[in-house]
Amino acid sequence: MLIAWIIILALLQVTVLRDLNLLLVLVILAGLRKGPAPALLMGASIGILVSIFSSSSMGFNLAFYSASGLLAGLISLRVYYKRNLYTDFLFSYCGVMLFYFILTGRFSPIIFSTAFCSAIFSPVLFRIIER
Amino acid sequence: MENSYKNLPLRKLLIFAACIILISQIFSSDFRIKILNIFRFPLKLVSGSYYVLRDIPDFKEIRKENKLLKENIGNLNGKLVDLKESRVENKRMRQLLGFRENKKRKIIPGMVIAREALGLGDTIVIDKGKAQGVYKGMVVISVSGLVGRVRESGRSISRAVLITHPDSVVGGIVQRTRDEGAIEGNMSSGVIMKYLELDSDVKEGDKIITSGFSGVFEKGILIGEVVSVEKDVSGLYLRAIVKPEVDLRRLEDALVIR
Repeated sequence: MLIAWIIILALLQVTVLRDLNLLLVLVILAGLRKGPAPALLMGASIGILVSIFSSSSMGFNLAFYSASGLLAGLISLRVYYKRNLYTDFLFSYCGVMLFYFILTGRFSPIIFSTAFCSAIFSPVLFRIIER
Repeated sequence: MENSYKNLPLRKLLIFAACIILISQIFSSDFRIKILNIFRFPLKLVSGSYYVLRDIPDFKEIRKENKLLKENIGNLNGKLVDLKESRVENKRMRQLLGFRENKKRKIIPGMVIAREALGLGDTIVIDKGKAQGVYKGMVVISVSGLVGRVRESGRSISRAVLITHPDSVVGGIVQRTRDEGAIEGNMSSGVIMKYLELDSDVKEGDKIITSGFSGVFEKGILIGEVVSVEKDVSGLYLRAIVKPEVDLRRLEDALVIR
């Protein structure tokens, strides 16, 4: 079921919801709610899927998405995490912003809007994780 | 959750990293485009539905535009007769001067069914591939101007790199002054025309077209309009920020030049 949801989200991301990165939010939420190991695996699977729809190299996507899941998982265990929608939103927002900052090397207005719009979906996406 | 953290020793992470490297070597671009071909139908379905739904609010506007276009057809038909006359004359003159006739280009129309998965919008996926005659390296345009170039081609699907992609380089000339330069994609500014001479008279609003020097892009395809001109970092050349003529973010249809 989770795989089906991931494929649906990927299809939506490359067609209708073009400026969002829902798959990254999904990986971050997996890290926060399930811990580093499951998030690492989920990040790797999503990285492979994203590579199919992307022109960038497979290793790049695999590494970036896996690292995002792992980092989110480690932060939730070692630094801070409180299970509520606000914290999920905040972590998703910061996670997406950091991801695009590393990717592009700068904070542009489009990064802020992408992070905000993607993080808004975190209450919906966390239900997919909880399943 | 505590257990999942403990289950992450260094050795497992190293094995995981090795797997990443291995998978990235196995998954060549040919293999990826083959898998992408499997998703062709759902992508086309979702994109097609999205385009229809997006156009519904503009329906009244489209009807008005359609009426206007029908009126214009009548006027254009008159001009077409004049053009045909000029063409015949041009052909005769070329023959007299010994010019070789350019090869007639064939255009393959396609629908944009997907975008870059990372949301940066630098590549598009078109629903036409090798089966329809679309191959790697072919030029992609739209009715307004240059779009990019085909990077990967599958059986019935292909991926094109847009002119805004950092890997994209196109030879261009300023239509008014005939100054030459290289049009490069840029993540922050969109498209930049580099290596313009310091004494160049390039101004805001000047149109940029393809130079055709590389032999890849044919000469005269409209690229965009100059937004601003400044000295580059070295101070030896000018560089112009160019606004692409095609609205690449809202692109629905693409034409591949064969």
